[in-house]
Amino acid sequence: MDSKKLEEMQDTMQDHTNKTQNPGDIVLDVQNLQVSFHTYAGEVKAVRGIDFYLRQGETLAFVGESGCGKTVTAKAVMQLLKVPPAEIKPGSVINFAGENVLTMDKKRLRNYKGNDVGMIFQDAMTSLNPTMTCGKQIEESLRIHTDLSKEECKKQAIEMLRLVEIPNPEARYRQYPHELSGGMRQRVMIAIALACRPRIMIADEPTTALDVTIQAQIMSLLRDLKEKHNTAIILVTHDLGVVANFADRIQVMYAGQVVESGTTQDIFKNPQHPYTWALLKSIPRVDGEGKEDLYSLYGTPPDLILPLEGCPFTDRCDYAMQICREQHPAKTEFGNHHCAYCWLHHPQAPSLDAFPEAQTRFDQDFALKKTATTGVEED
Amino acid sequence: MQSDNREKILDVQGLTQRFHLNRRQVLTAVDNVSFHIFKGETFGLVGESGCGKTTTGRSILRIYEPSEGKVLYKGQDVADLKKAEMKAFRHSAQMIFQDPYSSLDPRMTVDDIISEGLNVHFPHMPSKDKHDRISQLLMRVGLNSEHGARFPHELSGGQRQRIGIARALAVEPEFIVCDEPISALDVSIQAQIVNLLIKLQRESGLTYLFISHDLSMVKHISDRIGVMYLGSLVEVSDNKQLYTRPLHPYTHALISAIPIPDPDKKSMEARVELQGEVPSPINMPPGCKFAGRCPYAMDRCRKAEPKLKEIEPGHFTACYLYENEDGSLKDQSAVMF
Amino acid sequence: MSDVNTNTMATLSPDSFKPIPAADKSAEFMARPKITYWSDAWRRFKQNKVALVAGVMLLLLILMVIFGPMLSPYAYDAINRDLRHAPPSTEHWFGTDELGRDIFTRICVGGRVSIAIGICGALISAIVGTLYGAISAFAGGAVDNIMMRIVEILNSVPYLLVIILLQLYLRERNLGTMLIALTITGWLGSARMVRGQLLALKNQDFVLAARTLGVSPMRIILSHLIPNTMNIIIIAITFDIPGYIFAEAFLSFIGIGIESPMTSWGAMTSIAQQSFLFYPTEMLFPSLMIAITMLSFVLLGDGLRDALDPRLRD
Repeated sequence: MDSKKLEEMQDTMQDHTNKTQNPGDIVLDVQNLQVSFHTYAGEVKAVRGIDFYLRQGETLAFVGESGCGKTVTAKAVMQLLKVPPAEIKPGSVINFAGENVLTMDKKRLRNYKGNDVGMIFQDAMTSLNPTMTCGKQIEESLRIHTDLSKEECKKQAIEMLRLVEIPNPEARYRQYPHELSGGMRQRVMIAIALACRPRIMIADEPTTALDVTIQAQIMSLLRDLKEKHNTAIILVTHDLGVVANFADRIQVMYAGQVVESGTTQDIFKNPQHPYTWALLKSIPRVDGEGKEDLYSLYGTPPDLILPLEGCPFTDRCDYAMQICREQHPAKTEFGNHHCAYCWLHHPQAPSLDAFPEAQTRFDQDFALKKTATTGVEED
Repeated sequence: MQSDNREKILDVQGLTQRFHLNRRQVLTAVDNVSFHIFKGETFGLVGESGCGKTTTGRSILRIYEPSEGKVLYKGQDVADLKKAEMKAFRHSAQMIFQDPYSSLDPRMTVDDIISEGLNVHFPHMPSKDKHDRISQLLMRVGLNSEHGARFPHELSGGQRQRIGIARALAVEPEFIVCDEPISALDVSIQAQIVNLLIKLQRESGLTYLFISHDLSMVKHISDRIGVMYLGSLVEVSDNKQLYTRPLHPYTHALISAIPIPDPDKKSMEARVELQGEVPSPINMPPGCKFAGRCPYAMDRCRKAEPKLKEIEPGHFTACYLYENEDGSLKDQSAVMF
Repeated sequence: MSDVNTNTMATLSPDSFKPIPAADKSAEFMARPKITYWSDAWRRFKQNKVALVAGVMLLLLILMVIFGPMLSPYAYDAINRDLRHAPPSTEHWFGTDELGRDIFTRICVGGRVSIAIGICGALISAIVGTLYGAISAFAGGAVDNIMMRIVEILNSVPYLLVIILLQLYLRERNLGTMLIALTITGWLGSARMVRGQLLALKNQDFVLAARTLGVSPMRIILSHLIPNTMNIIIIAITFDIPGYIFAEAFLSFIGIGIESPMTSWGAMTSIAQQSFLFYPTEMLFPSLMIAITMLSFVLLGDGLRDALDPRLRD
């Protein structure tokens, strides 16, 4: 394919959608997002007031266990929640490049999904349409969001398949999803999500269902693509190990709340929340000696139907104090947008030595910052 | 290794499992696999999806009748067991399943699920004893008797998997096939299940066959590890040697595909990123099954399949990189890998 | 909890920072009330108001056909030649027929036959079909193959022909022979459905788990396979009942159904049809009953399917 012509084509696409891509711009700004599901047993508060922002070209990872609200948050941003039973509570703010997503009309929203924000799901088999060829599925989103002619759409679709490193894209264009392997299907999903060159791509556990070797391939593909196109990525995952070499910033979530957020360096090298410590310690390492013990979190995350007045992690935390049950901890900032919500940072809190029952002595690995650089702030 | 004087609880000899899809197509899920497991150890069986590891586990427990080869459990061929012996085998060898959602009957309470095995093997146990036994089992897996009256759909994935473990433990087995017990769970819960299995092993001297696709978790539970690719065992080694000096190129690739949870280490040295995907196991061409994806493939690899050979004490691999044309082993220092 | 938001710099009591002992933590707390499969299904069924109304309607209908004749002073077969073709009145609520018999009483008695055939027919075909399908699915291989070929062959015979021939052959025509005639091919559908469901269940991990525990095949069928097919069977029964009611009505209408003086809704419409133009109410009431009953069962079946099908679980 003539590369010059393709560039032109992509330029026209860009003009058409009027995208300005200045790195450093905040493309997504979410404040006090609260999402509830109304079920027979009562209101399940799945997301309980979280704030985050995303800059152009930046990768933000949501990390947490199943049911911590990470997928719900991603779906709320993408406006994919089914209302009812879901409800985005009043007071929640989702701004895409300065535009309020929650008040978009139907037409704008259709354009927003796909053209401004693309999404990759965990299970490529159920997310792809089994009765449509892969090529047609890529074309579909191009046709909805651009003015390209039928022929140009096809060219662009094949080019997208090539972009996601699918061998022999012309042949794959005509194949159905069930004819492809799991890794190939995930690549097709990425091609669909990227077809309109969205400014944000949301990847919900993109590699969880794949084998390790394929997982490595997909992650390196995503890394290449984001560098090439300066796409901002929200990566949703339960595995901190996956994001170490991928994300710029990490947001650790638990029971619908953010418990710690900061740069990848801060989260891995200077974590400040016992839950983050536990997550880090429970990742198996291959670079150690033989069979060795692994730290493990005990118990199960709380049911989000509960009001959870104190810190939700209390019952599984080795460093739980009486106050943790009673009051929600305030935000402590450590500079450089690194913050955590934990009572251990309170000036009156004891040092980690006061917890002899703790399974693993985290104080040997992680230093607890008692004096916050910017002071303790109001919640 | 002090291997030879230990008691082998399981000895798999040349196990082959074929499935006839239709008149022409034969799927060889497991192809001439041999290994043994010593009493009280954990043998990890690792490989990507479709490599036959699950089928191996099921053939061992005689859920499938093997097409060829033998499975010796405590020296007795599992295929020749008489009815009473079979019952004793079911009492002694158990299984933990991959999917905590489909492995528990949705219409049964947790108590009913756990007592199922008790009803078969201890039919005359008084109901009070049975009740005590169940709450004791629930405690052992970190739950309490409150969970006994619940239905599976009310529990989280990690909780369900622990119910599956309690069900297997109820009949007091000696040997458990753990068929990918952690792959459907979150990383933090994976550690929980692995640690629980280790704790139970220490308490009751259990022997495990631990099947997984994830080399990093297997490391923490296994004493010896076998790596499978498309139905063949390509490497068998003790835990430490496998990670410090993987011999087979596939093992090497598997290890280097594991993400390193450290933002400073970009990747492990000599990272091998495998191209392509596992080919279909239907009507395989001759030769080494990995040859198509192997960065070191030679002409010889495509002609005949290499045999598993002991390269170092206790460390076996099936790869021509380590042997000369005549079948003798190469000088170790001459192998560039 | 008034000070939740003012907790930061204010001095808190040192007791607040005492560690919680591990024994006091409940990391496996179950927050939701216990709910069984059936109570959950009942909850969902209640949400479907249409199905609920249909259920109440059927209950009333069944009560009516059971107790109606006791309330009525007339016997269903009492002929009153002085009062033929009477219109509805306070004496005879639904009027009388060509022989002066009370239509209300006859509708109740006929309803017993119609509903009994509907329910019994559906039950018999469900039981036969379940057993056949279960054996076929569980045996597998050649047995399964042969058993399914038999079903296919039987299915290809036009069922109306079989019924008519059978009815003619049996001569005596009562409830029993009607049931035999109707169910002789009626179980085929449920046999196929149960087989399909069981084949899917047979390879589920929980069945494999039971096999590795050494549970006998019979117990696996009884404690795992049947309970997990129960919802589908119940839904099938509910949808089969209106089919049987209609089949009976049709046979009676064409004159090879229930014999006089016994009656059914179909037989009543058949007789009323002759004088339909002059006395439309005589036809109206029994046909209305057939329509209401069939509609109610279909709506009830819809509600049950939504409530019982695990795929729609939220």
